Amino acid sequence: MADPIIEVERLERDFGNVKAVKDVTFSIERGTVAGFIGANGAGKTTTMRMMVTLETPTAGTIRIGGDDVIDKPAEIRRRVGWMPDHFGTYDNVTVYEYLDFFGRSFGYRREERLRRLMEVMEFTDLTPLADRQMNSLSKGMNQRLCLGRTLIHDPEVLVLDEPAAGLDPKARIEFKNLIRLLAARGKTIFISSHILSELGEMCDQLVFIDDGRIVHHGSTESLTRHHGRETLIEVRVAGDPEPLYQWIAAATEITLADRHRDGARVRAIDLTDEDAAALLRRMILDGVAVQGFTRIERRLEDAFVDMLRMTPPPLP
Amino acid sequence: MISSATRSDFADWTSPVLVKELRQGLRSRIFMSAFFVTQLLMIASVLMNLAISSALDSRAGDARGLMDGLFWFLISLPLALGMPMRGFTAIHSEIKDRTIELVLLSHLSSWRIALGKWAAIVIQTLLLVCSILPYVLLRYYLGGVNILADLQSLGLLFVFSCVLTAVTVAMSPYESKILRGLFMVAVFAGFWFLMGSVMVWLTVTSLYGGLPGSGRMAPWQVYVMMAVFAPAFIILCLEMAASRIAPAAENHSMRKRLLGAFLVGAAVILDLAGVGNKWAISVAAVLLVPLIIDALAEPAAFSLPVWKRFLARGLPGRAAAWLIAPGWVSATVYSITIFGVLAAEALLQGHLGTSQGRIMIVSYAGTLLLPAAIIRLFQPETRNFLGFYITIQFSFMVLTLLVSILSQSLNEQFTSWLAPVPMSALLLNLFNNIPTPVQSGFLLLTSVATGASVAFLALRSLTPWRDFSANLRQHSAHNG
Repeated sequence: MADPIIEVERLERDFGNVKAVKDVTFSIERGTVAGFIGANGAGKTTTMRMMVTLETPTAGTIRIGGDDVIDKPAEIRRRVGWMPDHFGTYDNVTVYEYLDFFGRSFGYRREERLRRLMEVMEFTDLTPLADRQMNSLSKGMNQRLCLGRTLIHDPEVLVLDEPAAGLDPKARIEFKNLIRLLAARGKTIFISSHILSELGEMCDQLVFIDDGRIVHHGSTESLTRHHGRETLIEVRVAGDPEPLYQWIAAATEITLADRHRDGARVRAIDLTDEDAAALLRRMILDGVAVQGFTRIERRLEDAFVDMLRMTPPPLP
Repeated sequence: MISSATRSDFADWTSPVLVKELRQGLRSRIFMSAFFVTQLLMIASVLMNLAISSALDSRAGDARGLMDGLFWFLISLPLALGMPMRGFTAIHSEIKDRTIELVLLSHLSSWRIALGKWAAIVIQTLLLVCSILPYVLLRYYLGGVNILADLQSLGLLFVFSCVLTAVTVAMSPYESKILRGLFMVAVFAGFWFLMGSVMVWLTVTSLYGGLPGSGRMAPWQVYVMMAVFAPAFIILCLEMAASRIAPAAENHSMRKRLLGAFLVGAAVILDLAGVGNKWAISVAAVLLVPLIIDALAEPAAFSLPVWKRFLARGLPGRAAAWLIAPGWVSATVYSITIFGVLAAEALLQGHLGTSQGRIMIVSYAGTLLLPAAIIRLFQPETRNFLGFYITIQFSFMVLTLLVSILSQSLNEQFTSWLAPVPMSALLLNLFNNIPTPVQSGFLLLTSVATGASVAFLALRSLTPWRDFSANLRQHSAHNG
């Protein structure tokens, strides 16, 4: 990996006799949005809490930007913004005062703090709510406020634990847009969620964890476009589909998966983008009236289920 | 909003937690209610004072005494009860709302959080004190009271309020409502008794030159003791609060135990310098009780970052770890060391010349260690150490009370059966309820119980030490 900003190596965390995280290793490149996927109790939150120095690893190392979380916790806290799966609000405090408190807590003084607050409130669209009491905010507003708090010290890395949980669709879309904007600004974002389809849209990389172990780490594309080594392609033709069926029967690198009124679905093994382009070119040159040629992407949920099914049980 | 933010900001010079807490606290209903109720009570008290003073000339002295009592009682309610009580929720609310982690991830340390919480309540208390000052002046001009004595009492009350607030802030991270309730009752009863005693002491001292048995301590000696012990105890309490919310990687045990050592050292110096009149060591021993219980309650959890710091300092670091590393194992060694120093000081001051003095020091150590040994024997993995500890101590107190009542009503010396219970020995000794002929036997049995507690805790601590060593070896192997 070219420029990893998060490096987790042989990480373990025990709670008494319970091993919550077992030998976890992965790394995340600078500037990417990485999704962290796992069932409840898989070890996601524990791993994230260790990354932000809230938990101490039993064994292994975590480095953020080259600094070890055990040796340099203060440096890590400066680099990382943590957004837990709860809001963490106060009574008798306005939106502005809340952000102001965290601005002060991160050591910002006067003009610098004011500038940071204005930037954050503008980015999260909280400026009109500045004088509102926190306990009068909706869930979506609270979530934006919590993201604002996470951004107040301008961290390089954002660690977000289930940030979209409990939000209505509108708030979810708004939140997703904010994440995209942050990614465009070069932030590295490590995000866990149960809403896998959303992760698929947002993330460049996905890390799957199950029972405290990493079971997959790769690009979102590789998961959604391939069914294991297999790729499905939807071919639609103008008019009679019979020539297409004949062409498929004669071809060696694809097999027919399914016929339908407008064409067929074909199956290919280890198909690269270049292979797919060559296949389409040959079909057209051989006279097949191709109207549509689309790779069928799997839902992330299906990939997740397949992943868990394929994972061998842990050694006794 | 923006105009208020761009103003030159005095708050930048203070702690962020203090600013936030004052913003929240001054808007809270509790503070507003306390403020207005205090004003109403003060107005009522002054009016009654005036009415009684003018109406009952012949019995003006009695009436004034009554009104003085009422005035100070009314002032004590918000200052020594209402405001310190707010400390109980100071950190607990942050834990309950799960905001504490977010604050800890900023540049604020757990110590600064605890200090800010305490300071915010103290500043609000100070506002109340300031609001009371006009009534003190009215009493002087219209009621003819001694304003200096009033100001001294008000100052004393404020100091007690500060100490009580520190104690309640120290209790606030505990989640158990029962535990916090029990602490609240014990602490308030104890401190109100202590406050009353000191006030009476100072009054009697200024009138008659001292109380019998106090070694004729002058007010300045009491003030010096307060100036030394009150800030140290407040810092200790705030450290206890900070240690409860701090990440495991921070070693607050070291700071707390060094503060304990400071208390003992200061007491020794005060006594040797003649300031403490041999009382300083007793005060230190009382103030050390929460520290020792808190230390013995620490889990024997292995924290790699903390141990790495000790190991990095070689042999001196390893030796220091035996006394100041987190966990009940080193706490046992630390407690025994502190008891040793207290005993040496008591010996120097001549307190150990009598059986009573010897019983006192041995039973003090045993009282603190025996419940810890019982818990480590029967509930070694408990997460509710303090709950068990308080229950055991409370049972011993009830047992002592019942046996004492039985002995008195039947005119039999059943209390001798309590000798193996250090708590009973301590209480009976405090109230001079151990007859001289049985004092030696009492001392022997109390010593056996205390010694057995020490021996058991030492034996029980072998397993955690072995685990620590294994963890360190595993870490070394893991990281090459």
